[in-house]
Amino acid sequence: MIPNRTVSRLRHILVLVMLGAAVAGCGTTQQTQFLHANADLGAIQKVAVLPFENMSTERAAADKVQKVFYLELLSLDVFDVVEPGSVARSVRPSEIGSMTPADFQRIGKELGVDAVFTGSVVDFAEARTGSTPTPEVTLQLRLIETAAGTTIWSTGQARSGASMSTRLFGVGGESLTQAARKMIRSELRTLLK
Amino acid sequence: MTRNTLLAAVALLLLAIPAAATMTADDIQPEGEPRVIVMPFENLTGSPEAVALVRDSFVSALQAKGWMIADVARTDLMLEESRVRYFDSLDESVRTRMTTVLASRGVISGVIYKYTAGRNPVVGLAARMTRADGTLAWAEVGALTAQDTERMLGFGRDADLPVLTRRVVGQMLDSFPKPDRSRARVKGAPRTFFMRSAASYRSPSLDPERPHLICVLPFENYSTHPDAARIVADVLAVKFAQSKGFDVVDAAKLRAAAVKARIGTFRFVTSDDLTRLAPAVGTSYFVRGTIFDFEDPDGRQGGDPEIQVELSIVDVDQSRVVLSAQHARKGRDYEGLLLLGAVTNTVSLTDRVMGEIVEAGLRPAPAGQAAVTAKGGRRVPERHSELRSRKGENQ
Repeated sequence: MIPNRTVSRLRHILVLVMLGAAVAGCGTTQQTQFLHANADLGAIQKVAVLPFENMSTERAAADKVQKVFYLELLSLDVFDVVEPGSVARSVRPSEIGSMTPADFQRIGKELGVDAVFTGSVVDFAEARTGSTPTPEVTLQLRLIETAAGTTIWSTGQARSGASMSTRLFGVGGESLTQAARKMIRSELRTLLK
Repeated sequence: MTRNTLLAAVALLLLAIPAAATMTADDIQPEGEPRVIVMPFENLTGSPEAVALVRDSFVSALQAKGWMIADVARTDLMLEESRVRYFDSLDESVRTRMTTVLASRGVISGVIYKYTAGRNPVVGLAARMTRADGTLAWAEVGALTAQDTERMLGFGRDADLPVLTRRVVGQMLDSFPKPDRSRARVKGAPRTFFMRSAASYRSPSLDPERPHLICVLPFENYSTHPDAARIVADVLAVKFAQSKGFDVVDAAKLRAAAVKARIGTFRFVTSDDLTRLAPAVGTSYFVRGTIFDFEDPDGRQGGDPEIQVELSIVDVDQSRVVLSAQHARKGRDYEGLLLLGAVTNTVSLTDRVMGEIVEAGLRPAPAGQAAVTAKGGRRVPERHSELRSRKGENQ
């Protein structure tokens, strides 16, 4: 007959092992962040969102993520945001990814904005955990003030792997768009106090 | 006839002329003869027989509801004489002439999106009735697959395309106005519990108390389905038209305005083009959108349709977005208890998704979004004061 103390100890060890396995199986999220030493985001009233750069293998990734970002920025309701059609007038698709401070200054004058948001979609792919989709998304966002063409805010986030509930129970998988929306929301919150 | 009688008759005639000049087509038509024109529908399928079958189904179903139908042969002759190219919507002058000559209250037109045979036949279409004065009296989207008609244990399955077509038309006409001008009872869209709604933003500047006239432009299409842009824009226009918050510019009016503004294609249309177009269509609110995914099972048994879209309503006069929404769904998302309720075709899925987007767009902006402060005469959202600043830290 096993003593009660041994049973209790075995139970504790089993719980710890299960917790460890669950944590090890969690999806990972890494985030880096930068805010300029002299940044005063409160001085920015009007912004534009430029087309995002696409470094992933998914053709429409940059457009998808840029539109998700646009909606989340509108919902934040802290800036006046120029409508995309006006931005298309000032920015050529070939310029994306190679813009200089002079380009940002020009765009700022043409659109009458204090700053522009840009972004890069580095990864945008879907893996599978069993039959449940697990997103692999890496985004980088920047806010550039147009007076001098200086980056005043920048954030990068990478998300990969399945969540704990997906690993344990095979449910709750996220689509790529849902994962991107969550990441963008958490990144935009870093703009606020 | 005596001289007095003749004078009285002339006097009555003189009094009647001004009254007659203010009559509308509705007044001319006697109350006892409710009549509509049924046009041949525009056909996006590869099946030419679909047009006649859909038209006959509408004619039969409307007659069963007590409506009279303008003579079909005469209707076709007038369409040919007017050199009508697009049957989804009539030019104002053609519509006015036809409703007057054929003594009809309105014109029923539409588009056939799906008419596919196979292991799981599917019929999908949209229709609308436009009154003589150009206002919309009714609009509806309908679609069915053979799988949708199955009851318990697979009994009752209708795999015959003509039968499916009649069922689709019958369902669509449930909400059609009655000949006595009273409204039909409309069944609301099925509730979606425990499902995330469309992500949306509505500007506080979009007044929720009055309807807004909007113009729906063709969507950008990243999917591989060639008709996705047409189906999504059409169905969205129907859902906006059905809602209380929006009126939609007629497709024929948009086409005429585009020709006048020398806009050949909407694919690369800019905000400047839309600013030029706005006076001709009567509104500065344009709906632009993108289709990222549009998967069509296309008659395959057990296939799962899928759609992902985003759209914005842009006020080109103010250069700002007043409403934005994004949504994605698969047919199986609507599956409920006992694995029932899944949507099995793209037209029905598009109908549900667009309905959810419009519903989300009709919700007024949350209280936080409406709060603004005046800062030096400039509108500044209250949350603007929450933005971070490092200036104080470095002093």
